[in-house]
Amino acid sequence: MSLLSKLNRFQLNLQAVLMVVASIFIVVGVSAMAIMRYVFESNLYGAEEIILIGAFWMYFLGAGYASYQRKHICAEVFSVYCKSEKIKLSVKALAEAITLGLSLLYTYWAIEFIIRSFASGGVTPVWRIPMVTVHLSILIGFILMTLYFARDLKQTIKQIFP
Amino acid sequence: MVIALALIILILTLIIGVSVPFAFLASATSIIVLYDYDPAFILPYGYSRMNNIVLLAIPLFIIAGSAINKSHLGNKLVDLVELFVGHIKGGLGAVTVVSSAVFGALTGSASATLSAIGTIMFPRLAKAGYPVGHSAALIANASVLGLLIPPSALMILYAWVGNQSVLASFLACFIPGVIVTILLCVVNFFLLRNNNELEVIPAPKGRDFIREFRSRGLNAIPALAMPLLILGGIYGGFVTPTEAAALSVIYVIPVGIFIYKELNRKTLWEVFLESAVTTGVIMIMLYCVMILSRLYVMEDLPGTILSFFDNLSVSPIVVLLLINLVMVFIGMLMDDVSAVLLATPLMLPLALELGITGTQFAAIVGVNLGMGNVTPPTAPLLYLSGQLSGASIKDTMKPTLYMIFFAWLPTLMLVTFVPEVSLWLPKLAGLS
Repeated sequence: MSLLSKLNRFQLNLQAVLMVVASIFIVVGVSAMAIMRYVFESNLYGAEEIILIGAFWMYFLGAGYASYQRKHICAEVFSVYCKSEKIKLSVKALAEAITLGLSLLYTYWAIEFIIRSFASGGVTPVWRIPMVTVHLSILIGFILMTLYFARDLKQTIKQIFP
Repeated sequence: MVIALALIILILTLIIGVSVPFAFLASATSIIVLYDYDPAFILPYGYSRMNNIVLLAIPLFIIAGSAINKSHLGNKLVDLVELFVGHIKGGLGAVTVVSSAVFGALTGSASATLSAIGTIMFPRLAKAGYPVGHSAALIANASVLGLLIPPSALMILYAWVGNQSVLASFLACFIPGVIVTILLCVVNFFLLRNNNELEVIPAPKGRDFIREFRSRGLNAIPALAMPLLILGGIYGGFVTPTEAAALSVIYVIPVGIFIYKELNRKTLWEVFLESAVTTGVIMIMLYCVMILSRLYVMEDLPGTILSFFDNLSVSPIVVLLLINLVMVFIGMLMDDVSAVLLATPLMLPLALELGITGTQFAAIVGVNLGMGNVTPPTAPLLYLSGQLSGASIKDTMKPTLYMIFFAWLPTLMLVTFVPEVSLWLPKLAGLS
């Protein structure tokens, strides 16, 4: 196994662990809030903002993992009706190139977003957690998606030009 | 002109197979570039719209649904419903429809319902002599019912994108969901009325029935109690939809581990991981559609469409029918989640202008998109059902068309032109 494959495996495992932890954290956090409010007539002050940080990491790591598993939803009307394999593959490559281009553009805009977030030094209202900790999830999500969209395009081009 | 171009880009990118969130972004980017918007506001805007605890109901319902699915609840549900109608000619078809409706409401996923109930019912239906095309069409149509019967994750998305009440949207879809369920059963009985090869399951009588009911009921009750707890908690004013969703996970996991004995460390890991991925797929679409709908509103797309209809000088009824047509078309092209995310910002402002309330429109959206998902030629659920059952598309077509014309279309006309069908329950609960 090459170093790149090992790194990729490590990153996927880490991603999976973080996603599962974030999911459990959300379940426990929201349930605890409900139980505190209705059973103990108290509230978990500021819990919402910590839970939402976990949620954003779950959303965007999940989106990245979905790209790895090719689970993003496509309408693919063209491929259903097109008979020619060659044309189908070419259109698939075009769709993947557009997706990759957009993903790169939004990754760039996400970097700018993070830089602004760092510079403004925004923090959450209760726990004073830097906002960049949650904004970063958006950038990481777009980076992961970009990586796997590039992989998809490379594989399709290989199929067109074996 | 630019807004028309943005719409064309959206449609073209979807047709060629760009993934749905990036098709949304392609359309948004065209507006940003052509109108020279500062891109600095778009990512923070998407973040600010999604940074809300209400939306956590979606991943939480997905986790609960996945845990139920892994607990193999489908078998228990089918066994219980079969006890009541299995002995009637065509009854097994009705078992399929009702089980799919209940299972769909529990899992909130049409494809999970199709796979779970289909795997159980296809062999049983084939053994009982049901034509394979009929079975495939029936399960595909019934698997969409969870979209209408609350708690539906789709209605949370609709309410969020359209700034509507989640609880009112849930209730608005309930009666239409029940109507489609009943009509699908009726169409099933009608189509099979002259089929003399059907076998029926002999009905247990007297004490046998009570014994069977006790055994099958006990098996199914822990799972069937879940929607009652969720809906009772929400409408009783004890918990919010998000809290109800979290508590349903807390409830269903011990049920899966200790009562059904199907959940263990490995399956629980799968439940959480698969749910996080599904959530990622939905939430990135939501994030992108928030950006796109903001730009559409800034460029007054709904107003442009409305003035287009005004210029045509057609009656509001025709406009309403056209809205329905567009939504069925969207439902034919895309899966339910993508369709609701696209249809809501585009069509809701038009409906509001025509005097339709957002609550009634929830039911119109639900029925339209449900129907679109099983309407050929682009009907992903029908193809999946055909694959699972081994039926050809040709065989499924005739029964599907019957179900569309005699179950979905009448319900759609009802929810569109008789507001009470969708508004009666929300009004009763003081929500509309």
